[in-house]
Amino acid sequence: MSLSELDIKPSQPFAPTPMVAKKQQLKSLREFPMLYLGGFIVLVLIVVAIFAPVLAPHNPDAVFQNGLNANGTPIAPNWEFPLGTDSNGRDILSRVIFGSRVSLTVGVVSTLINLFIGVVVGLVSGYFGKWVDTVLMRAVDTILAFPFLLFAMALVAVLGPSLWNVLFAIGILGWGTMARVVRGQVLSLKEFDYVQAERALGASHGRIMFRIILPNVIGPVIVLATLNVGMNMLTEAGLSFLGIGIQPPQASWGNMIQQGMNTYAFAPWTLWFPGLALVIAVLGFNMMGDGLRDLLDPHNATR
Amino acid sequence: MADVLEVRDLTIEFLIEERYYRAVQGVSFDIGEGETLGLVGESGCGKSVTSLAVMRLLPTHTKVSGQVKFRGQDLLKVGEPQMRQIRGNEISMIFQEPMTSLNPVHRIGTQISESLILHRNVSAAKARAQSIDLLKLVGIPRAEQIVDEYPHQLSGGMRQRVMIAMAMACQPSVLIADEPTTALDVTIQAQILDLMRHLTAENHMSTLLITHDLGVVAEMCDRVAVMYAGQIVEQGPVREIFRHPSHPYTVGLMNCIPKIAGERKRLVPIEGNVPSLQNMGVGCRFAPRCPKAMDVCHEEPEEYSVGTEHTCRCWLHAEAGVTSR
Repeated sequence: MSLSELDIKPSQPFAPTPMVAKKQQLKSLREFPMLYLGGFIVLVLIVVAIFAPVLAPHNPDAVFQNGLNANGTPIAPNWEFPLGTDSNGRDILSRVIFGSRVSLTVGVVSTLINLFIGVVVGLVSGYFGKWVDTVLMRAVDTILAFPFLLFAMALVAVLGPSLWNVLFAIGILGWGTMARVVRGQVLSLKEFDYVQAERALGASHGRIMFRIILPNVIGPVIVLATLNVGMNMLTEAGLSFLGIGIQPPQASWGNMIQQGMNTYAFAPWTLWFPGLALVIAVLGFNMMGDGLRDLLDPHNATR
Repeated sequence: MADVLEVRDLTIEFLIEERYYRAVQGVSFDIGEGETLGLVGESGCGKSVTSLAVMRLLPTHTKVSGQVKFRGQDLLKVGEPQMRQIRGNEISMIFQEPMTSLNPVHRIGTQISESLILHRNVSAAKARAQSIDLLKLVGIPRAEQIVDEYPHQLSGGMRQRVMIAMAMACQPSVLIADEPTTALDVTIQAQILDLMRHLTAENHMSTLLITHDLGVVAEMCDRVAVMYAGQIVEQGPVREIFRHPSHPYTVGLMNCIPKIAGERKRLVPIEGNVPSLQNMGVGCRFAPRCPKAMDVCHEEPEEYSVGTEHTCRCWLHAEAGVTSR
């Protein structure tokens, strides 16, 4: 009788594909164009955000004397203002470049908060099961039952609009899916013989959860986290667009789009470029996430 | 010889659909210092469950009663933190499936170091050095390289050696081996058994060897306990049992082994199956399959003495008298 037969749930006969195998697969990365393209976009985004002061041709918040036409309309793209100016006479390129800092900060840090809460809740829920699982999963159901954006809006409205409050609101609300995914993985992993073997060595529950089980769920968690960054960037843009996110004059793609709405009819570049930046950035993270999923999927044996 | 492990009246019940069913009933055995006890029986007879009960590793929806005394201390009564100190340190375990009993994401060295770090409080560097020594001890070539490799890079036999190294790390006084060679090739089986015998003898370790292979028992054990449907039906020194199997079930098991010498006969299988937990009859549990079943078998037999330290739970030997255990 194998050990796993003792519990009611049937254990799966396969062992999870070890992460080491992935290292060797890195050679065949070229067969994952999505991963490459997505990764490239993300890399560019990170470089732009870090070197924003060097890359931006102008001060993003400066209102230029020559930034508006005689009739007070924004200037179309030209050599001095490559992407044109906005209705206040500020350089759009510089604002898009600085806006990447906001998007990336919110996207990544809120995802880290999601990750932390989701992983801990998922691990504890799946590992201990029974009433612990019931309580935690009902909490997840509750949080997922609310429309995410509305919930975030309400929270930011209470806390007051600022970068850190937006980030906190998204971070504290968006971990439901992560918890579910981790829990599902833990449910099957905890039946594996090596978990039993570790218990037989005298390890504590905490050690088993974080040292033995956690490294085995890291694959799907990375994929989900990557996709999550894109999602959270969109949410931030949404909140800023509605005026309860990043407050002007600080540049955020969301509030730039909002401002561009007013001048769209006669100066469409005020809307296009921040919108385009947002689309490319989110697409980059989504492609990278999808690519990672393909890479880590053991069933993807087309190679 | 002082008994290191004394198991008395161990009864294990599983909760199945809101009722408790007895998987193991009234199991008693002793293991002396440096002694090897073989626990033999068919699949599902309760061997593994018994070993897990000793380690207190059964799922929480089970009810365990009786006594499991390790050096006089009842393990069923100690607290969980104290039990953690005993697991892997005083009593360690080798599992059946070397392919799935190692964590795929950690290096071999890290996994062997685990119990050293948990129980001996050694530094990571020292644990690594000791892991290399342990790998050498269990006969792994290129120990310095293997220590940094991952489980999937090793063969089944090698992994079982690693499992043994993990179990040996803290020099425990009791080793529980749950069918350690079942998943291995016959040629590797012999090597692993040899290694285990060698290591346990050298360290005066007591061993509880769980197996369904009587060949392994003959090779490794000092004493044998034969289990059927959750009870020990016969127990005694290995020579006694092989020469004078008393319980019809043991006789049946012996008849299932092909013999190389002598006339070639058809093997005699034991008809029928082990009764399931839900419909365990009254009286002797083997009676429905027993070729020698009598009317009296509807009543529960006790353990009767049939020789020196040799007991048998069968009405055929009732006249010998109840053992004084």
